[in-house]
This record gives sequence, structure tokens and C-alpha cells, in this order.
Amino acid sequence: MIGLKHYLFLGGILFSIGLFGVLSRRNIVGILMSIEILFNAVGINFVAFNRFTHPGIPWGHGFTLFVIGLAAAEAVVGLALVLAIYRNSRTVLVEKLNLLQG
Amino acid sequence: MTESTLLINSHWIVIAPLIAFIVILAFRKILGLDGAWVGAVALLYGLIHSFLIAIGIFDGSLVLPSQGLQGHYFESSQSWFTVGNFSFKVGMLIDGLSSIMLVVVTLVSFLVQVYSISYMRGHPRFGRYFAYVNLFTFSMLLLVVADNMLQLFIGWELVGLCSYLLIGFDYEREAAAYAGRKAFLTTKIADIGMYLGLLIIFNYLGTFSIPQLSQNIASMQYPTWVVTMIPIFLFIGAMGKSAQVPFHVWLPDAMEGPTPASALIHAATMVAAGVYLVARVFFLFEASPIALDVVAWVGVITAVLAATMGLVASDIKRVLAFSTVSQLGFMMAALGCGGYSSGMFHLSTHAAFKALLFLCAGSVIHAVHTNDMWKMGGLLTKMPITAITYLIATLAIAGFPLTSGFFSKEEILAVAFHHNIVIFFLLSFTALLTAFYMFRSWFLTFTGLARDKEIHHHAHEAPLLMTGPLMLLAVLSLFLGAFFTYQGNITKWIHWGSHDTEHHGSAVILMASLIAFVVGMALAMWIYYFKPPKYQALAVRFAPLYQILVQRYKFDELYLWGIHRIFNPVVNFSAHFDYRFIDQKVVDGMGVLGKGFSYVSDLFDKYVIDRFMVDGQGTFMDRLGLYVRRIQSGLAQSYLFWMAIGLASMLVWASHVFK
Repeated sequence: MIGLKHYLFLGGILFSIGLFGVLSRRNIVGILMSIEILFNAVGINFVAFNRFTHPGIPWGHGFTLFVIGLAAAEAVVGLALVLAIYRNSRTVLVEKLNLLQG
Repeated sequence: MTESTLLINSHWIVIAPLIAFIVILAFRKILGLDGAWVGAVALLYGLIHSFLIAIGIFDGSLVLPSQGLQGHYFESSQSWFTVGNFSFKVGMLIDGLSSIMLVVVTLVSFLVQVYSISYMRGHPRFGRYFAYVNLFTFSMLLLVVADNMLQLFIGWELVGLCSYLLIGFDYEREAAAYAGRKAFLTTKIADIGMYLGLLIIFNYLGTFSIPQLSQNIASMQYPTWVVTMIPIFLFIGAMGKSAQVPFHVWLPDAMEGPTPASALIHAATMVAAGVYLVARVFFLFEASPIALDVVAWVGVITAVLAATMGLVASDIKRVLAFSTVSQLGFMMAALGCGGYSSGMFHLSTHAAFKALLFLCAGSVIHAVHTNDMWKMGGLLTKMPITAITYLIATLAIAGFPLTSGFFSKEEILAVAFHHNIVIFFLLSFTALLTAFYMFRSWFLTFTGLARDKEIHHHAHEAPLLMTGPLMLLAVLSLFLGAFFTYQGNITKWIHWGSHDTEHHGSAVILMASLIAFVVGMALAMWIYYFKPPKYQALAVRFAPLYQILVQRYKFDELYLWGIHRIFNPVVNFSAHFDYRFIDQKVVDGMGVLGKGFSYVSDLFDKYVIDRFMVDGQGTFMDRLGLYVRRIQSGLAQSYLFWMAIGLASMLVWASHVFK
């Protein structure tokens, strides 16, 4: 029987993959994609908790929809930033963007 | 004026001479010789006031409120200053003892002051002289009325200072300056004893108040050495002031001062202080039989030695000085034998006739301008009043029946007779010597041939201002003793009767004093009046004895020898030690050591403090910064990585804590 634990386990794996991607991708676009995976992991958690702990109240679904909406907006802003960065420094690799190095 | 106001205002007796002193000293240029009258008025006031008090106490009309000490007393004191929780006081203590002493002091001071107006006329510093006399009187009165040992000690030291000032008054003469220093130093050395006594008193008895002391000593148990050493130390101070052997050396030299000042010193203000101290704190002496024996024997030895030294003195004032030392020995012996009131009785009668003797001597010296009795002689016709009054005083001091000295000396002999027969015989012998040398001085000065015609020719009787005090004192010398004796004697006054040995009408004592008087006088008359050349033969015959006496048992030489042979080497050694060891080794060594230390300290400062700690801090921070800056790589991902690590560890921690 598939229960809450399995969903949370799936959310955890997805979050870990997303986090790993954020930390390890050199390409900003890849990082943005990894962030999308993180959002989805969180969305799965919300839905799973809603389903198994408070089945009658659809707040979890609502939040998930907001997260998807926000993810779309974030992707737009993020890609716009990527374009702006690329236009300025001719690169999309984050390790090159070290203006704040001490 | 009621009796209590007499007592309450009694402090003015003491303050009046002080005011006179300040006024005379401040305005001596303006007042001139009139300054003396300011002092005389102040002293006359003191005399009248204290006379009223003494009479009031004597006939019982003056009520002394407090019980204790020697019968009743009046005390009023004020806090002077406070140290810790101990309050030092200044106050008045009036009882029979201090009242009679007040009369003695003010009387003699007043007469001396009046006498001096004539005697000191023409002296370049007479204003200063009268100021000193008043300061002297003030100091003595301060001592007499003191209700605590500290105030007494202050008066004591002031008295010593004033005697120094007056003895060395004619400081142009080297001998006077020397005598002043000698008196000051000798008494000062003795004062160390008194000072030690005061320290022990304060440490063990815990108070300076005299009534309180007498209560403490009576009611509490103290270690024996404390009870013994307190009176002995105090007595050492008294020995210095009252010129007891071996501290007597200053008094014969003290005649270098103006003669009226000598009268003051010998009769009332200086030497009486020692006897008065012993009488004032007699309860301390009574507590220790050893101390009483010391007092008695020192007194007896002093009496005998001084009397023998007086036998051969050629200076008229020196004879009187030795007689003072001898009579003081009498008083001390009386006190030591427990004869409290007889000692004080002799003190007061002695004050009268000794002041008279010195003032007479002053009158003679004033007339003949020499102290040497060998240059006098035959002055009876030239200055009859002086001669007669001197004779009266001589009779009194020699113990002619019914004069004052007869009664007081007989009482002392009686006390000694009941206490210790050896002391009695020695004192009787001294009385014989006293009669001898006093009549010797009278015969040499006033009778026989004029040995120096020039001097004899110019001699003249003194003016009334000088003879007046002489006559008054002569009357006192004659009748004071009889007055006391027929009023039931002085014990009634001093309220110490229970402690005196009962001693009346003993034929042995009467005979002893009469024989002493008659033999002494007869010998003097025989040697110096009927067979004047006889003394030279005697001096040759007993040459060794004569030499010892003339050289005053070589006390001065002994002290000088001590100073040269013991004191100076010790001092030189100390100086040498001080220079060679303390200065050159210890002090300079300290310098070298300090230099070494400062060198080490300098190195430490330079290398440890400056380089290691101050600079090191900067360097450390600099290096640290080099390492720490690497964290700030500018890579957003690495920041995020650390953030994730942090967040994860916080979550792990939280899950552990909150379960």
C-alpha cells in the first residue's frame, strides 16, 4: 500500500536532486531547471500532506497551484536575468560571475 | 559669686596667663615695661580665684560634686579630638591637691612677676621675659588642673620648653645658652620614661582620664609588670623634672637664667611638676610597693648627695640650687614612704621659702653684681631687709621650731621613721647638712668682714617692688606651717588622711629634727662666723673629700665621659656603618639592582610587550584575514552550499532536541 512515507520519500529524493543540481550545475540555465525540480518536490509534499493528514480541506492543492504559478514567473524572471548577464559578460557559467570575490 | 561658679569658671585661672602671654608678646614694643603689669594682673586674678577655691575646699563651703580619687573632686572636660572611637579630652580637675598647687603656683608666679619688674628693668628683652613667665605659669597650671594624662603631658612639655627659654634667656652668654640646652636635653631624656609610661597606660588601662585610671587600677586586675612599670616609667619623667639623681645635673646650671626665673623654676613651676605628678597619680604608685621603694630611695639618695654637694659650693645661687635638689629628694622620699600629704605639705612650704631665698639672692646679686659668696660678706648693715628675710627663709629651710619648714620636715621625718629607719636616719642627717650649708651661705653673705671692699661699698638695699614680695614670702615662710598644723594639718585639705601613717608627738622625731638644726647651725656658726679662717684649714685637711664635693661627684664628667667614650664611638660607628654599609652597599646596591631590573624590564617591554603582544596582535589579525578572505569566494553556489549545510545541521539539531 502506498502511504504518506512513500510520497515524502519521493519528495525528498526530488529535493535532493534539485539541490544537488543547484549546487553543482555550472550553467545558469541548468540551475534554473534544478530550481524547478525543487519546487516540484515541495509541491509533492504539500499535496501528500494534504491528502493524508487533512483530506477534506484543499489548502495543500491551493499552495501547490501557487507554487507552480510562482515557478512560471520565476522562470521568466530568471531567464530574463540570464539573458541580461549573458549580454553583459558573454557567459552563462556561474563560476565566472565572481565580482564579489574577497 | 557662689561656690559652683567659682569651680565652673576655674578654667580662667589657667587661661588668664595665656592671654597675658599673648598680649605681652604681641604688644611688647608698645607696652614696654607696662607689659609686666598685664601679666601681674592676670596672675593676681589667678591667685585670688584659686585662693578662694582653696579656702572653700578647706572649710568645706565649696561642694566638690564627684566622689572618688582622693575624696571628692570637681571635673569638667570637653572633647578635644577623636581618633577612632577614642575621644581625647581637655579638662579641669579640681580637688584639694590641685587647689593647693594652684595657689602655690599663682602666688609664686605673681610675686616673681612683681619682683621682676624692678629686677629686669633695663634688660633689652624684658617684654619677652614677662611673656615667658606667663607662658611658664600657664603651662604649669595646665599641668596642675589636667584631668587626663595627655593634657598633663602637654603641660609637662611646655614647662620644659619654658624652662629652656628662661634658663637660656641671656643667650649672649655661652654658659646660659649651654645651661638651657642642658636642662632641656636632660629633662627630655627623662621624658622618654614618662612617654613610655603613658604608652603602657593607654595600652593596658585604656584611658588617660585620671579619675578613670584610679577606678581602673582599683577595680581591675592587671599583670604585675604593668602595675610596676607604669609608676616607674612615670617616675623617671618626674626624676628629670624634679632633678633627682642621676638627672639632677641640669638644675645647678639652671641658675644661669635671670634670678627671679630661677625662683620660679625652683619654687613653683618646673621642679614641683615632678613631685606633683607623683602625688597626682599616687594611686598608681600605691599599687606597686616596688615603685614606692624606688621613689623613696631615689629621693633619699638625691637628698643626701645634693646636700653634700651644697656644702662646698661658692656660688650663692648654686647653694640654693643644691638645696632645692636636696629638698625635692625629701619630698620624693616622703611620697615613697607613703607620706602623700607630708610630701605635698613640704612642697608648698618649700615653695614659699625657696622662692624667698632665690628672690633674696637676686636682690643681693642685683646689689653686688656677683654670684660669688667669697666676694660678699658683711652685707647685713647694707641691705637689712634682704638679710633678715634671707635669715627667716634659712631658719625655715633648716627647720627652726615653729617655722613652716620645721613642721613639714618633721612630718616627713615622722613618715620615714614609721616606714624605714634607715631612710629616717639619712633624712635626719640631710636635715643637719641642710642647716649647715644654709647658715654657711647666710654667714658668708651677710656677716663677717667685707671681703671685697669695692663691692661692699656699692651695695644697697633693693627698692620696695623687690622687698615687698620678700617680706610677704617671709611671713608665709614663718607661719604657713603653723597655719596648716593648727588647722588640723594639710591631710584634711588633701583628703588622704587614711593613707598616712599616724605620726604625732613622737619625741624621737622631734629630737632628731631639733638636733639636726642645732648642730648644723652651730657648726656653720663656728666655722664661718667665729673662726672664719677655719674653713680653709678644713678644706686642706679633708682635701680628697672636698675635691669630690667641689667636683659634684663628677656627675657631669661622668656624663661627658659617657658621651665621649661611649656615645660618640657608637654614633661614629653608626655613621660609618650608615655610610659604608647602608649608603654604599644597600642604597647604592639598590640602585644597581634597580638598573639591572630596569634593563630586563626594558627588554621585556621591547620584545614581549611591544613586539609579541602589540605588534603580534596586528600580525595575527593580518594573517587571519588572509585565510578568512578565502571563504568569500564570490561564488554564489558555494555560499548556497554552506547555507544548505547550515540549514541541514540546524534541522538535524532541531529534530534531536524537539523529537
